[in-house]
Amino acid sequence: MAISNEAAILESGFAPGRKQIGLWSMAFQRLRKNRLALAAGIILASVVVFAALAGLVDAVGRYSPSEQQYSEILTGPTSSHWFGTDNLGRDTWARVWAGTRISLKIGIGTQLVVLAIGIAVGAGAALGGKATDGVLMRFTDLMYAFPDLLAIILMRAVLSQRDWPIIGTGDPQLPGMPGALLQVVLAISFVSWVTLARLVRGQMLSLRDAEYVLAAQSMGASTRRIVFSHMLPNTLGPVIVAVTFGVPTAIFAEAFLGFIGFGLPPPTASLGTLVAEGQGYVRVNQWMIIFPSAAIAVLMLCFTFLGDGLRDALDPRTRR
Amino acid sequence: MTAYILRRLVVMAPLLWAIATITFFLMHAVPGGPFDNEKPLPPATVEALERKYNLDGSLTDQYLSFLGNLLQGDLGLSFRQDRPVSDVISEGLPETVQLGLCAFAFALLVGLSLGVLSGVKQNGPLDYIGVFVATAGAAVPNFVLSVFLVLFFALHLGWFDVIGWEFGNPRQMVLPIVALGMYPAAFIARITRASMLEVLRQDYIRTARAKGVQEFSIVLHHAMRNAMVPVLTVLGPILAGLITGSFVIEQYFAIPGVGRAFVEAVGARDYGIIMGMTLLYATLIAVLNLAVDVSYAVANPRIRY
Repeated sequence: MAISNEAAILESGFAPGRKQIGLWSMAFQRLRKNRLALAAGIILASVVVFAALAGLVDAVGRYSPSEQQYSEILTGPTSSHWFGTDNLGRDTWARVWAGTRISLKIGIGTQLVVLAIGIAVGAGAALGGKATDGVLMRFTDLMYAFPDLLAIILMRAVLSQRDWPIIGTGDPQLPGMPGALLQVVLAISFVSWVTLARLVRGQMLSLRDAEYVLAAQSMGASTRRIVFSHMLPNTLGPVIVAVTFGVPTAIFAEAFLGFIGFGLPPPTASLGTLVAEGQGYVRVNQWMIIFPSAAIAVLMLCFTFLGDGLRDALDPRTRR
Repeated sequence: MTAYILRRLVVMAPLLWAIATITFFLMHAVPGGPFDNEKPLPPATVEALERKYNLDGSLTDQYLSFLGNLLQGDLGLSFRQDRPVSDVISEGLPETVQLGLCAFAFALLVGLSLGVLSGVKQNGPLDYIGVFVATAGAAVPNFVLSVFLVLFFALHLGWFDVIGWEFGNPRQMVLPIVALGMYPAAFIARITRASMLEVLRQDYIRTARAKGVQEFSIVLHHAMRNAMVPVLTVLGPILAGLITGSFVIEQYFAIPGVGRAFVEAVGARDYGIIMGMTLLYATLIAVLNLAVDVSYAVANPRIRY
């Protein structure tokens, strides 16, 4: 009996000593097979590198985003200005990369803030007892019922024209993160953390009664240890997917704010303000609006495809 | 069912009160006042203006008198336009609702047909086109789409006007509707496709095939009916999103709707309009969500409230 069982185990591939595949390496393998998601990831990585280089190395950025050349106004793509110039003679190539840098900062910065609020509220609601859960969930319901775009515009207006340090015009400022940028990040995050909080709460509630949590409890693990080393890692999959989809939403929100005139103050080149500026010259120089629009589309498409791929890769139900 | 609807309507009142309160204090926290001009007004004028528009008391007094007026259905005056907020809103609302409903119809038509077709012919060329349109449509912001639509169809081909809105005039209506409706169309297509794929694998579909029902009739009568239930749940938020989310499209195509009025109002600290719009939109969203929950129960008899 024992011998035949061992043979069956050996045959089925579970030989002793064979390397076990964990969730993460399996997810990575599955992601690698998804060509669309892989391509999106590679394009994104190169966009990030390029956007960073364009701000540091003159050979890549070619011009300063606010440098004006009065002899070349509203040109199409030429050998010296690859994306053309705008109505003030500024190089669109340099401005689009500067805008991409801002969009990436806002997309990722927003998701960091959203993560912090979402995990705190979600975990607090799930683990903090019935009263806490009731209060926090009513609050998320309220935020959910608030018209999104109205709230973002209002929050942005509330935070504007402040001389606060770090998140205003006052000193000190974070390097690479001017106060106005952080204000936009905060305005967007305050409105978009609700989905993540609900997700984390749901995950935590379902995990609270999981057998391995019970096992850890019976072995005398502290609550902190159970929450941080057993429960949080297991909520990570859906959270990563939500964050990946949150980045393009934040990029859209920033572009939207910039477009309606509530974004970063000029002469900052954010992708939304670039589209808004280009709109006024659409009959004169279409390139001024085409390139920033395309940049927004590429960024959002890549994050969406990557999010789709991650969701498929991390979903335990599709595991073979 | 009636009791359920009544209960939901009762819960709506404190929700709207909470939203009104948050909005009230948020908008008063916006730096600058409604009478800030580049050339400062004489203090006496500002004082008279503040008295006229009920801004001279403390914030608590203003809040209480605002709540009192609100209970009587009075939204107050717009500072900039010097007329009741309800007038400003009822003037812009038709355009916004027309645009929203048309975009909704477009999204339903395109989303459902794309979703059903790609679900039925899974992995066929039609499916790939459908999935591509669904993903691209969901990833491209509507004002970026507007840019390319205007460049190609209005400026290059000259088929449509660049700006404007006149109900019944396709030269002005098509582009804003497509630009606004593309995202929800893509969303509906994705859900419909996934739902169709699942339903088409059910046993009763095989039974229908086995007894010789035509494929067309299977798709139309047997599959679509059940595949619609998940789609139904998202229709409420989508319609609410379309009516309350058309700021950019209204701005881009110069449509005189309420979305544009709101953007201008925030810039001008026009408290009355900000509050009126927020309440209007929040009510719309709450009512549409309720409508969806009710229709869900009607479509799926297994759900009881």
